[in-house]
Amino acid sequence: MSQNNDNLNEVKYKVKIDSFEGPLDLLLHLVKTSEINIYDIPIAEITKQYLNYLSFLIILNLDNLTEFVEMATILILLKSKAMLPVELDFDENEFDPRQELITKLLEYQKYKMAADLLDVMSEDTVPLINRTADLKLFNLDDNEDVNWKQLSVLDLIGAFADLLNKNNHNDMELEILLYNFTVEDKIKLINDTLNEKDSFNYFELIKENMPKMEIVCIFLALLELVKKGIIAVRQHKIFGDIHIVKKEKLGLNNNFS
Amino acid sequence: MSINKYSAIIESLLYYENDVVSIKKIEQITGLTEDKIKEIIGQLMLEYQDDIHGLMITEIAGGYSFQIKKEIFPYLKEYYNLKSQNRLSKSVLTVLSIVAYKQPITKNEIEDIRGVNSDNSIKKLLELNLIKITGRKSIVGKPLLYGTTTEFLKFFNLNDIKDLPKIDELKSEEFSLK
Repeated sequence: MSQNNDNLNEVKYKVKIDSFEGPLDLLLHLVKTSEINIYDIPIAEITKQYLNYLSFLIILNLDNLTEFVEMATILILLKSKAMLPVELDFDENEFDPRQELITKLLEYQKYKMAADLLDVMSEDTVPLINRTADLKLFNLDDNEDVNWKQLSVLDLIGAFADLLNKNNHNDMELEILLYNFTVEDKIKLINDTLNEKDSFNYFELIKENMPKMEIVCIFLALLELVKKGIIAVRQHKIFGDIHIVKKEKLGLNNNFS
Repeated sequence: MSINKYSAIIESLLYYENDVVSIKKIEQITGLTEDKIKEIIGQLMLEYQDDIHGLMITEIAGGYSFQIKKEIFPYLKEYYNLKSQNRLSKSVLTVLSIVAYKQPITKNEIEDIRGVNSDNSIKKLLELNLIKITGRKSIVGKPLLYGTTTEFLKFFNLNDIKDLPKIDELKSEEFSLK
């Protein structure tokens, strides 16, 4: 065979192989194309074909090569078992070593078909289109529940980043600043404020030109208190301010996270 | 209040919510029983079936929603640059179907069926919010369990996970030579 011909073959295989999800997919394909009965797979023949493909896979050096090799070892094991002289066994329900593989193939085929079905279903479905503009009118009263949403840590970090950017304190001063605040202090500050009034807003704690470190401390204090379950927080949908509430105030009605 | 008025309220409710509305919510707002609501919505659905309407009411993800009719959708699609649903890749779909039919299921169990590492597909599905972590299996290592989401139901236009086509009807026992 000429060099040219070899190259052609390789290209042809490449196209085919790319469409295999994994060893089971390949095996299923082999069984189907050779039109053999899955319950009675001629192991020797299938192994030969499989190893043929495998050699091309090795040339391609796919990421999941190990999985293909693993299947090859299973096939070779089955083949070698089949070659051994059959022991006379009086047990009628003799276990077919191929059974496990066949069960796996059938199971895999089942979900492959289900996947095709889902594909058709999703293609058939008109997407639910949400109108882009939010038609709901805002109620600007801050006490209105609709204006507040529950918070995730990511939201908290977002609000925190906003504040950091807003406060254009000169960072250079930090170098010579003596830190006269700690996270513990800030926890105490939040607790004290909560003793005075049942709830307040995060922005109230931040003063203009506050050093970044101090904002960080307040933020850490906030996270700590949320973790301990002492306070609950929620965020304004438009303005991004964070509302801090004493948890006991909420009682069992856990509207805020 | 007359039935017509309730029907009008439910209709405007669906319009305003702009998303799937659960029966529970409709119950809260109208104060009607579930049966009555279903009856009224059934009537509304019939009326929207008429050709003069471009919208229809669908029962989806355990609630109701307005939806553009399938035959009308193509007329808007181009002008508004609306996307049809993203088609999922073959491997992602296989993983999704395994999760859908065998949930709750661990990553290991999924990979056992597929015989391939499924990290990427699972990650992709989590990103698309089609599956979610539902808990941990109480075996050694406490692996995460995955299940489908409400978004999954919306994506495939299903009312309930039980409405998935029965997998046994796929003649799994027979080996097709297609």
